[in-house]
Amino acid sequence: MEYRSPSEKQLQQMLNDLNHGGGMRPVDVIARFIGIQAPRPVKFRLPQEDVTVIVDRIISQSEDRRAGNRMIVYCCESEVRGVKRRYELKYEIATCRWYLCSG
Amino acid sequence: MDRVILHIDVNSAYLSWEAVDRLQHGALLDLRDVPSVVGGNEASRHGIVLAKSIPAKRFGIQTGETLYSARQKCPGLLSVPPRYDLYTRCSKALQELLREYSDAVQVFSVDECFVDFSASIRLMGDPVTVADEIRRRCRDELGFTVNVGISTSKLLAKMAGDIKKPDKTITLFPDEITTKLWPLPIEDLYMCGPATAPKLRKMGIHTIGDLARTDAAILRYTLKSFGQLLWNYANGIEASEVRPSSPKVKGIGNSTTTSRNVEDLEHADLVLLSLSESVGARLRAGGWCTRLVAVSIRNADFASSSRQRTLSFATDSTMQIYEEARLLLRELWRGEPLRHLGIRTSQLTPADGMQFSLFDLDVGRRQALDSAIDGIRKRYGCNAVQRGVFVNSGIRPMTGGVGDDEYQMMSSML
Repeated sequence: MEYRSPSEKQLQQMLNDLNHGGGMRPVDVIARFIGIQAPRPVKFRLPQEDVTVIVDRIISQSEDRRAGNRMIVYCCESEVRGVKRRYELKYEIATCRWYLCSG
Repeated sequence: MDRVILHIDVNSAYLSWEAVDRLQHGALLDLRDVPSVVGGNEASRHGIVLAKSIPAKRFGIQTGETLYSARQKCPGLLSVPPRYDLYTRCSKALQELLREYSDAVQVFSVDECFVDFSASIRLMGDPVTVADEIRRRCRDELGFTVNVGISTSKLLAKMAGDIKKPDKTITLFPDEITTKLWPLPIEDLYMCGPATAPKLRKMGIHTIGDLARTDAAILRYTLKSFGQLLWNYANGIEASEVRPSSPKVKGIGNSTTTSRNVEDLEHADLVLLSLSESVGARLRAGGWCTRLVAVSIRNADFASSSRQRTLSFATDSTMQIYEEARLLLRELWRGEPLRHLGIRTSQLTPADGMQFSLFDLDVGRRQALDSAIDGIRKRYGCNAVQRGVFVNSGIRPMTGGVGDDEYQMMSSML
């Protein structure tokens, strides 16, 4: 069988995929806004799979200011199918977008 | 009392900022770890390298060379397009951080700042320690590394930062000039470029030290007042103040270098219209109206000229700016092939205090149209709506990016 190495374009595409959304994906979130505090995520949904997860516990909250782009990082825990899993939800202030990371 | 000046310079700015932005959005690859460059758009015209990573440097890739030749040196080279809004944002984040240490911060360029630390020493302590802290914070909080040069003048602080990269704090105080500055080749001296260096070498001057020890009168004879400036710089003599940038916007303009020669009015008008769209949109976004429109052109031989006119009224309308630009172009251009056109507006006034022309009956409709188009573009992107003349014209409906108007700079003057 002949082996054809990926074309330049394919290589770029692969690297692009790796670079974009490799570790992070946009999710839909319901959050609670109380007073002047930062929003607290309540539950999130993976749009493609139509799966909803309730945020059982927010373990910690911090801010990521890299490249001047403020993101609030929530270290969360949820029980999914009987297993406690930890992950990160990030809120990008400039765009009002939420992302799920493996954490 | 000697001043203490810091010069902060982001390492491989465009590339580092792009790398950090990607990492922050989940990328698994740090562009800085592989041979990569930030390059202009290859498809539309000859892209060039705007910034390179350290691994790319090892392949001999240089800033300014074409992407084509860079790829020949390194076939697996990754290239990403420039994103000026990202760079402005990163630059502002850096400036904000620096302003925690002094209120005398001069934004020299998008990736360089001067800080007058003299007044802050008493409060914050040793400048080298503070410089290290600034570097650490840039690295940990903002995600990119900087070089910090420390001295008693802007010139020496800037040259200090150039001595070794990346991510270093380097001092170049007057008593260190002979050991740290003089051994360097003259090309490394600030303001000594590819035109001056060969002239100096012909005179037997090869290092900055040679230049410093040469009789200033000889340099003045060959290079006039510039020779004196070079001699001063080689001896660390420079005393300009750190000028905190005035945040006031003085003008808004856009210009473009076209991908092929502009040889007829129809083509030129299209380019001007495209530039007017950008300028108009930015004026309205900033809440400004303008009273001065200027058109500048550059022909294939790099000769530039410009013409401007003050209007009797203030406007933020794309079409009014365009009409004026067209008139100016016809007064200015003699028909030779052009390669670069620009529109600049200034004498800005806030839009809410605008004085309309008494003869202008259409102003309401024009504003409604401009506002509707701006709304559509804001929601759906700049390409969502464009003027019909641009279809199949080969010219983009909106040309020009953020522009350098925010910095009264891109000047080589300290």
